Amino acid sequence: MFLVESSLLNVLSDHLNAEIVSGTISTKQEALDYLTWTYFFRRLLVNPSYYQMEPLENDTNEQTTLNTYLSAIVQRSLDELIRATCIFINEIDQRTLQATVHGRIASHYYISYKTIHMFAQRLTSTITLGELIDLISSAHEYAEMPVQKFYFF
Amino acid sequence: MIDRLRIPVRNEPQFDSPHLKTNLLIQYHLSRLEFPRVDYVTDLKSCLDQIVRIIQALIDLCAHKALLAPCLLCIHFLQMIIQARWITDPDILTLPHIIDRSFVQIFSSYLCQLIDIKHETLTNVLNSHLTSPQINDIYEYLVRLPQIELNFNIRGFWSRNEETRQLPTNVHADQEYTLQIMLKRINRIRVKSFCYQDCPE
Repeated sequence: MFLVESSLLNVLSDHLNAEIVSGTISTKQEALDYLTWTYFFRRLLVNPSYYQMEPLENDTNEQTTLNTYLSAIVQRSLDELIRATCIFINEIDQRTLQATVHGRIASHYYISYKTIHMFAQRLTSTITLGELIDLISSAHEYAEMPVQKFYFF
Repeated sequence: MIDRLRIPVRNEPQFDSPHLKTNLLIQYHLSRLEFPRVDYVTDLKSCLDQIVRIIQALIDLCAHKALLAPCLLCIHFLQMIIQARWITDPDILTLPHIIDRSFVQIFSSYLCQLIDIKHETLTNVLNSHLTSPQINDIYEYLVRLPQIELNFNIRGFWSRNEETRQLPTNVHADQEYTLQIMLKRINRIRVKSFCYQDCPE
C-alpha cells in the first residue's frame, strides 16, 4: 500500500499564523493541542523517523521524546512568525500570542508570512513601477515557478 | 526574451531564478508579447492566478504604513495586470480588438470621451478597420464602463461646533478632519462575466 506522509511541517508557520489571527490559538499550549488533531500527528506516531523524531537518549521514554519534539517544532514556527513581525507575545502575561497587522494581512489574503515580511521590509515611499514588479516577482508564492526548462531566447 | 523587456532587469540577472522568470512573465503579459515557448502560457496563468491577492495584500500594507504614492502605484499596477497594458499606453488600447497602435490616430480622443458614443458614430469610425461583430463588442464594452459621480467634503472643527465644509477650505494645524467621499454610479449596471484581457482561460 502506498502511504501518504504529511507535508504540514513545510507550512506550519502559515497555519499557525492563520489560527492566531482567527483566535483559535492564543498560547503555545493551544498550538501544541492543535497539532495533535492533525494528520501530521497521526503519521508522526506511526513513522517518527520520516519526520526526524529521534529519542533524545536511550533511556528517555516515548512520551518525553514526543513532547520535546512537538515543543521544538512549534517553538521554531512561532519564532519564525515573531521574526517576520506577524505575531508577538503579550508583554504583560508573557504568554498570549497576538497577531500583528502584518499577520492579519497575510492570513486574510492567504499569502505566506515570508512574503508579507519581505514586502514590509522592502516597501519604500519612493518605490518605482520597476521596483514594484521586482518586489512582487520576489514573493515566496513564486519560488516554485518552474525554471528547469527556462531559456532566455 | 530578456532583451524585449520594457523595464530592464537589475544588474547581473540570475538566469535560474524563479523570481526573475516571474518578472519576465509579468512584463510579457503587460506588453502582450508572444512567448517563445508554449509552457510559459500555463506558467503565466498560474502567476496571474495568485497575483491579484498578492497586490491586494500589498495595497493593505501600503495603507497600514500610510504610504500614499506606493498605494496608488499598486492600484494602477493591479489595473495594468487586468487590462494587460502598461499605464503609459494610450487608454484606447484597453478596448477589445484594438490591438494596434494605429487605432490611436483613428480615435484621436480619450476613452472617457467615448463613453457616450452612439453606435452609429462608432461604426462610421471603425467600419473600414474592423468587422461588425467586433464593433459591437467595443460598443458593448463602452456602455458597460462605469460612470461615477464623485462628491466630497470635509468634516471637523473650525470653531466650537463640528461642521461640514466644501473643499477647498483652510484647516487648523494639529486638528483631525474627516474627508467624506461619496461615489455614485450613474449609469445602469450590466452584469457580464469578467475575464482577463488577452489571457487564455
